[in-house]
Amino acid sequence: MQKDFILITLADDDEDDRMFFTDAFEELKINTVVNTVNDGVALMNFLNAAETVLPNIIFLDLNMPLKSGIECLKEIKANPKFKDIVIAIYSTSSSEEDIENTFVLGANIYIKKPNNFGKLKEILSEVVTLNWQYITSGLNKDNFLLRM
Amino acid sequence: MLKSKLFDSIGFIRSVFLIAFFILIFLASITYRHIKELDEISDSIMNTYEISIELGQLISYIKDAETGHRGYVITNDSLYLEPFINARKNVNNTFQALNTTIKSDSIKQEQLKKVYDLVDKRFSYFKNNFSSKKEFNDDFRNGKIIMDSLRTEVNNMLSTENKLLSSKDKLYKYNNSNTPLIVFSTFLISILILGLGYTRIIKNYNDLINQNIRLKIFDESSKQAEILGKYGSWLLNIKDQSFSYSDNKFRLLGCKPQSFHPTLENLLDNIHPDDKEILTDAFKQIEEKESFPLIRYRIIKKDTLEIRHFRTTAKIFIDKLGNKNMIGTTQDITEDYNKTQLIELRNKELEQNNKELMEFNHVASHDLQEPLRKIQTFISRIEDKEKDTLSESAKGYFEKIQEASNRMRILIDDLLQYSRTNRSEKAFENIDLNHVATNAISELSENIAEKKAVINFEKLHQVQGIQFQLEQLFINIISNSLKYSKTDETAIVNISSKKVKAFKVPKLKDDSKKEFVKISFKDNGLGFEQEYAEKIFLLFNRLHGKKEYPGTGVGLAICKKIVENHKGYIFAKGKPNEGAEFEIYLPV
Amino acid sequence: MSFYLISHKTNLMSTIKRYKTILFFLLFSISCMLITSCEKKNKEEKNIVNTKIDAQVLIEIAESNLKVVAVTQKAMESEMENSTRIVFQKIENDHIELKNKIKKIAKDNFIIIPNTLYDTKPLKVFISEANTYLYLKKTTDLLLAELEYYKKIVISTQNTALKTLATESITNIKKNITIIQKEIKLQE
Repeated sequence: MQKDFILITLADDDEDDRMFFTDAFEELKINTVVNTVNDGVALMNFLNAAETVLPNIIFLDLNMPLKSGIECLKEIKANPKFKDIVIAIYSTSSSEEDIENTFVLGANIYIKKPNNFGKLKEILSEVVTLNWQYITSGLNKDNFLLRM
Repeated sequence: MLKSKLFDSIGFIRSVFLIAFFILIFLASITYRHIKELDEISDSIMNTYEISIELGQLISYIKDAETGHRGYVITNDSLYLEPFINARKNVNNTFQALNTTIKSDSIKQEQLKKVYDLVDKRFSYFKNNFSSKKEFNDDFRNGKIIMDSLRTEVNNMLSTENKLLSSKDKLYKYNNSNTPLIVFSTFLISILILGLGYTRIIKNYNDLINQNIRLKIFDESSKQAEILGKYGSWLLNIKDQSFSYSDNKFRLLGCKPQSFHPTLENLLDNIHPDDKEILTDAFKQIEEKESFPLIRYRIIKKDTLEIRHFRTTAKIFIDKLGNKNMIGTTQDITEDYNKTQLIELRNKELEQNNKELMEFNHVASHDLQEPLRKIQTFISRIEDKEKDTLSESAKGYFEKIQEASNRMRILIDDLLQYSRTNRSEKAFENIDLNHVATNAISELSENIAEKKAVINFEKLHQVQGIQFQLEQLFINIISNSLKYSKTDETAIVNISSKKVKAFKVPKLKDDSKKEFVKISFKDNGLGFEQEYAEKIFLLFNRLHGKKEYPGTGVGLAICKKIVENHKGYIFAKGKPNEGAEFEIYLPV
Repeated sequence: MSFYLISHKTNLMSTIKRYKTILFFLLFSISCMLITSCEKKNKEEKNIVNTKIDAQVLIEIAESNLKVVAVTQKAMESEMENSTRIVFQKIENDHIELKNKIKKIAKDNFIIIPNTLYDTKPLKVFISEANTYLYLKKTTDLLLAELEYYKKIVISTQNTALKTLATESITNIKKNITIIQKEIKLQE
């Protein structure tokens, strides 16, 4: 990582989920800066805004109004500006279809929202501390492991 | 086969009749000859008879002449000249008669000439004035001598006649002794042949009658078949463009059978205006390519004016004379069409329903999970954060809440799985069950490690199926076995497979030679009573309370659904306290 | 609808057809033969009928011939002039020749003709009173009578031989008649 702290963005329409997320990172004591957006449109606006500093990791919920996670994923991957950003799908669904879809579209990691706060902290910590330099290069489903 | 037999018979009959005809001619000629010979013989007999009579009369007339002459000589009375002259006249008549009877027989003519000479000589001695007594005596004596020679000559003639007659008779007998025999035998032969011919003809005739009867029956049954099957047949003679319809074709069109003369023109009368082109095109094809496509079109029935759907096809048929005919069949498929429409509609509805239900299922499960997750997360946070401030009972309560929420989550997960099993439209692929087993085992690795269970599998076969469903199947069954394993023994699950043929496994109730792969999961767990073997696959059905063993009753139902999806069969065998065996049959 | 088409165009049909004509021809010829054979019989009979000679006719001319011969012979027994004798002789000779011809015809046709005159009474009556002139006259009458006979014969008979004889005789007799009549003229 270039900086001392990792920039993380979460796009999720559920208030409670956003709260869990930010609380988890707070309790993790990793150097992270977390910001959240409420839906896909907001996310794209945020990313496209000139003054934005691009995050290192985007956690993307699939079921969002206005613009769904899939659409955002497509847009993000289509834009060469965002190619270094790691995309983690953060969703309630565990359907094979969705997993397959997101993998094909270029997501790096698929996280099923856990139902336990402790578990959530574990997952997030693992995600962040992975050595992403090796992983962002190739699309390999075996690496596309974190179905947590 | 029959045709050649008939043909043979025709040749046979013809030859029979020809032979009979020739025999008749032969018989006629023999008869003719015979009769002719008879005629000749009778003529000869008559001849001989006449000659004999005439010759006899000749002698007697000459005797009359003699008597007359003597009388005249003695009395010089011309009274005695009369018999003399009569006698001469008679003699002349006799000679004429003899001449006529003899006709042109040269020998007989010679003989007759001799006789004539003698008679003439005798008459020359009938003088009435004699120069001297000596002449008188001489004349009478010579007269007598001539008379004697005359008699001899006449006898000669007669004997010649008789000889001739007898030789003719012999010849006739010789020639014709066989005739009656020949005639009779020819008659017998011809009767025999005629009899044969007759029996053959009768047989052929009967055959034809029977054929006709069968044909009539066939015709009738075909007519009935047409009525029942709602189809009609038609015939188009290509050369003269003449049509004929079967009775039912008329009925299909809503007309009385044979009520009008069908032609190409009035063919289009009944057709629905939009479909007229289909027919004209089809008929054009007859002209160009001499074939008829399978066409569907609508007609308007003449009597009820309702629209019916028809399907027509036809084929060229060339008969023995080289005439090209097109034999066609038209079927009223309105009922089928309507039914199909109905079915399609219902299908769509069902599909729609199904889709909606699935969607509902999926979405519901999904959306149900959301609040559940929140509950659980929040509870875990409370447990985390407020560990110290909570009372023991509160902690206990929260635990119970967690447990209940967990159960709900599992249930929702299972339901989700269940609905997913249905929803899949994936195509079947060749799946290696060894991979499936490996994946399933790795999925359950935690559980397996916990229970310290042993899962064995050896060379499993390949089947046609959907990867993730088969994995789910394996996972569910293995986890089931693990769940109901004995506490004091290590749980062992043995998975094996082999190929079987459907008819060899009676419980499949399939008599065909289809091949199945039989996958067996044997465990050494708690088993179950065999009477529940089918119940366990029912949705939400459990054999134990939730306190004893956790579970939703959905897992095995999902297995059943997956197996059914693959068009296979699943059976369970259990013995309490000895273990359970699950048999899955999947088509190859 | 029942289709039941059977028909054969084979060689057999055409051969049978050929047979038919031959058979018909055979039949026809046989019947012709039968008919003609019947006809022939009739013709033969006709021919036979036609050439018959009536015996009576021949007998008559034979008798008249004999009469002429007898008269001329008897005449030549008496005295007469040479010329007359020659005439009688000629007539007699002619008639003897005629007699032979008649005899031949009679023989050919199996007719018995009288060799001699049986009823000589009328002649005898005549001869007892005759003289040369009467003889000539009688001869002429006889010849005329003969002529009549022969004329009738020429018309009536179908027999060629007889017809020829008759025509010849007619000319002959006519000649003789003229000779005799000349002689008669001379006598007057």
